[in-house]
Amino acid sequence: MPRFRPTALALLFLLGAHAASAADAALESAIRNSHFVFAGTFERIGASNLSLLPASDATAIVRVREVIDQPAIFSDLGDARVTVRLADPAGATEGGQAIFFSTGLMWGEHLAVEENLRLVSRTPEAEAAEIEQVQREVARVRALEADEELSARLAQTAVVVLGRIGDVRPRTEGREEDFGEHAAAWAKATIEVESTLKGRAASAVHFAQDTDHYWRNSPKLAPGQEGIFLLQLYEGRDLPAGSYIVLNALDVQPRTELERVRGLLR
Amino acid sequence: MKAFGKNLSPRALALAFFGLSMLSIRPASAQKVTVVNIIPSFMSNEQNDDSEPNLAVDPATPSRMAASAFFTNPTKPNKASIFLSGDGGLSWSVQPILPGSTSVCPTSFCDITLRFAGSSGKLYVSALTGKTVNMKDTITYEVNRFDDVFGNPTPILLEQRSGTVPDVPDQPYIQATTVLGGEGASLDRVFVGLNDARLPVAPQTATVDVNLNAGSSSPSAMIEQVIEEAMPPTPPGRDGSAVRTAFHSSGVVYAAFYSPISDSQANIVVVRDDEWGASAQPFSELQTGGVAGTIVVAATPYAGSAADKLNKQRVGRSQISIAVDPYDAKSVWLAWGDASNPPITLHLRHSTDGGKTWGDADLLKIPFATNPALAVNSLGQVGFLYQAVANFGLWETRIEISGDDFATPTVPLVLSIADSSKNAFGANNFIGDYIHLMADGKDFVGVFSALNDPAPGAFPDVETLVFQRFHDNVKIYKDAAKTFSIPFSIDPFFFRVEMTTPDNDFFVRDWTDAGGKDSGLEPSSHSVFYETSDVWNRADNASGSPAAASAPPHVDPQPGQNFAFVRVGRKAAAVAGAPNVDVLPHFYYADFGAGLPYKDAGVAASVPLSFAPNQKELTLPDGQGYEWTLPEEHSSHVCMGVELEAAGDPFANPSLQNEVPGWPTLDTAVLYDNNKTQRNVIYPQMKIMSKSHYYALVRNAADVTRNVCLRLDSPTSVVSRYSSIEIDACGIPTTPYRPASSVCLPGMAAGEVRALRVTVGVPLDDPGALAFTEVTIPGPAGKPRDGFAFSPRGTSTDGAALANLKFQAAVFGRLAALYGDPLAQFWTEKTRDLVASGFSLPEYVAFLQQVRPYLQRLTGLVPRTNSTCAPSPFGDLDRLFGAIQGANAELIAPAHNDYLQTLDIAITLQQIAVNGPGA
Repeated sequence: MPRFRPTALALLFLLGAHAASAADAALESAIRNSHFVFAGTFERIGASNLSLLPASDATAIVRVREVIDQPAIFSDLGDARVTVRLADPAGATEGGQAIFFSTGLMWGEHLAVEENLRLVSRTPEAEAAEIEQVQREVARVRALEADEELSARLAQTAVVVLGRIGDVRPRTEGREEDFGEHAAAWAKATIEVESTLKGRAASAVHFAQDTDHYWRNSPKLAPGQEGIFLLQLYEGRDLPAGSYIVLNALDVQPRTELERVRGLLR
Repeated sequence: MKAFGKNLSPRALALAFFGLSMLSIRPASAQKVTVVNIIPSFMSNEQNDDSEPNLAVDPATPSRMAASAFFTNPTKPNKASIFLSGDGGLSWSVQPILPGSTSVCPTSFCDITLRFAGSSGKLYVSALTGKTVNMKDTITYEVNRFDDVFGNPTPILLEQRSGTVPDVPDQPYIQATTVLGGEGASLDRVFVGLNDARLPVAPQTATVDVNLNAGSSSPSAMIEQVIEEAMPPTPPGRDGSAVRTAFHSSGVVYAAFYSPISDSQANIVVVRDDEWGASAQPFSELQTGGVAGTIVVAATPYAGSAADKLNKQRVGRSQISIAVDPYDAKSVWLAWGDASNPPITLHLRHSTDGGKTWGDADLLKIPFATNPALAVNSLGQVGFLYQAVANFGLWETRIEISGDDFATPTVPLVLSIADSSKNAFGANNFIGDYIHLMADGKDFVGVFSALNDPAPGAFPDVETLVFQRFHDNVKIYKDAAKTFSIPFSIDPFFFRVEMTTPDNDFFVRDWTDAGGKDSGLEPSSHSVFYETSDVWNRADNASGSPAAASAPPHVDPQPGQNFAFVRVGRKAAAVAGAPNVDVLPHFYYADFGAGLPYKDAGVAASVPLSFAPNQKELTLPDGQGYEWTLPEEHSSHVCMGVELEAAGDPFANPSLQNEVPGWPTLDTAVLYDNNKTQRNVIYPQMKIMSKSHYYALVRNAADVTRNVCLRLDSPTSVVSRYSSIEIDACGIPTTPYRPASSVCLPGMAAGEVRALRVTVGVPLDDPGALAFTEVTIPGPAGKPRDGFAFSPRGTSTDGAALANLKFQAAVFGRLAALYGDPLAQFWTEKTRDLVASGFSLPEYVAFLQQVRPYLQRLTGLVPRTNSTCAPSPFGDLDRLFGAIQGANAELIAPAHNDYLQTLDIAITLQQIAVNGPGA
């Protein structure tokens, strides 16, 4: 995970995000490695507000002034005091402002994050513009990450079709008791294929009906459901050889993503 | 008990009244229940199904805990989180520590179970992780170790193996311990029960992974022990999902599992291994028809299909739990669920013969219930945790606790109650396949998953309810301002059933040589339990005022009047204004050696230690030592024991009285019950730069003839400080003391007692104790049963002369008391007079020259036993005669000691031959 000296990082803005490709790469890398991106103010250096995270020279309590990016599962961090484990304590001064790129370290009565990158504003007045610039860059990188993930899934997918689910029938052969409690309760769905985007046309797919933890997040298909289906060739012995399944949430895309999928397949 | 809240559904309210009616018949109890919702406030917006939880408590520092559940990875990919608490479970943090991947498992890891070992402080984590490899969905089973999970949570991979769906390893369930003593002492040992259905293993899938040295920088390889010997039919073709283990500190490991015999029936099987799961024929101690394992119940209804459900929970093939009594490796409890429909039922049984027999009747039978979890605490009480569907479809999490094998009907404590019609229960298997219960000393602690409705009424028998989420006792919120409420979901809850409050938990056994105090941990983390402790003897009624961090100033007991002292700790101060608490010590003594029973130290009333509310440690003060009398006829070489009793803190049975100190019964009792301790060491003073010998008794306390083996457990750093150490006993050649080696007294009949002689050369003042641990078999594989230690103190010739004369008074006093011999009485008194008056070395020599003509006759007072193994004092007497003739005190002192030691042991053996041990 790349870490940067804050003094060097200030140059990122001085250079301009598009003026220096090295700075671009550093910023993009930091965003990819960070889930908490926020503008904050150092309140106490060498402090911690989590009982299980001892204070040290490399920890600081930072007041969050503006959240740029955070996982939805967390409570709103606005105005929160978070403990930051600093990549480099140099340059951290009480009252100092910065944009922090960080990942989760520990969360309990408060949040602790691990700093990947710190951007120090040229001036307090310039910070608003810098935040806007980072927001745009975060949005761009998150979209890029999503495309990369789907692209990778498409690359390993045997068949991609646009179509509509016909009938759905639970599979009665190959009972779960033959294969243990985590074996799927498979159902077979027919697909009325509108077009084949990758591979040879296929007209049926299996999916796990189970709603237990093991299979809960795998796609559940229903008659009449339209979409783009990424059919994975299944090699488990609880389905006939050559069967296709949808397994990952990415394996079912809405019709509205057609152009995006086509683009990624090119 | 909290009153039920206003916000329960009509069905919940109906049960609330039912619960209140139960309250009226609940017996008065000191049990205090705390329940903590462990989702931290900063994750209050979390709304997933956090089921199938697990819990670990660091035995060395019980305030440190770790927990797990199915839990959405809230931050970086490839890191799964666990929960950590540093305050005994009252608050929890989440920390992403496990490297993982994402695929089939909803989080990057599934089925996380975790356990701290003992004194090592290391955390062991077993888990499953899923990913797609070459278009095959694989499940990988992993075991990781964290040496410092609170400070530097870096995983060290101990095991990893994968299977392709659906033939995968499943439900790894870990146990870990640090070996307390004997073979493998201080090594971390790990046991993982799992259903290993990878194709090379299936269909005999019940497996226990064993690691005998998991904590090393170069850990041992995991040993895969397939514990199923029967062949499951097709279908179902593989064993039930749950394989659970339980271990005893002596090295006995049990495992329990479902062995299906058809799609709808299974045998409930228990297997046992007595060598830490790694004997030559592993897990084969129990046999049924030539096949490993005891069939506890045959052909019980079994759910081969997931169609069998209890309110959407799959049941009937994954509900099994086993627990062993820390005081008795043969006492083991088993709970399992069947798939009779209706009702789906949990069963609880107890075996007292090491799993051979289980009887035909259940101790408890709980209909409409699942997720059994068993534990035995340091009081020997059994806790039985489970989740049941009660009236009106309400899910209840209950615990039942019994100290009499459920002979007295128990009233369950209801930890949680929830309406199963809530949306949170919409998915299948929403609370998971297991919950966890364990003992934290006297307390029971555990974790379960339930609805996160914060209404106090949803936790009926809970005195302290802690929600870390933002809430107002009615709703939960995503924000601290409580502006945005969110739906209820399934959360993990930590709980503690406090059996003894800390201010009522008194303990004795402050192992002051351990570099730190034993703060009353149960079990203790100290393996050499017999060498240092906070019970000691004094010649007068003065404690010696040991400093808080110092070993108490023990003085070997002398015939006649002695004073016993004890230093007692208390886990926590009481609140101001609380009444004083009296703690009553009972003192015991036993012959010095192995396998000898304790005797009550006397009939005088013990003096209670009266603890004021703010006092956490008390020592019997000067003038209030326990006056006891060592009978004139008894050897002054004794082991001392003490047992505490307070109104709110009774000692755990068995009592020390009339019991044999010996593994795996009473010595484990001392280790597990902080109300007990023992000191089995003698501290003879001997002249430095000389060789002298001492004796211990070794008794075969078993009821069969066997070789009694003693392992030499002092380290080289101690042994090297002696100029020589030689061991002699009947049946063995003279053997040097080599650390970690063993000496075995061959063919000892049941109850037979032999003397073990240790001859040492002491060049230093205080070289340290020489420990002898009785073990089941020689060498490192032996398990400890008992132990004793010699701790010679080097002194000048004058000091040795004084010690010899004191011992002579004791030994001659024994002759006088036992045989009524006036000559023995005369020389006893003359010796005492000389000791009392003080003397010079020439006077010491002159005195021995005076007594010399009578020594032959005095020695002859001891009747000869029939045993050819009894040492004769006449050889040493001849050497003493020679030394006296030379009139050289330097030579007389060691010869005098040896003669007296041999005469003393000869008297003792003769007495045991006549009266039996412990008379």
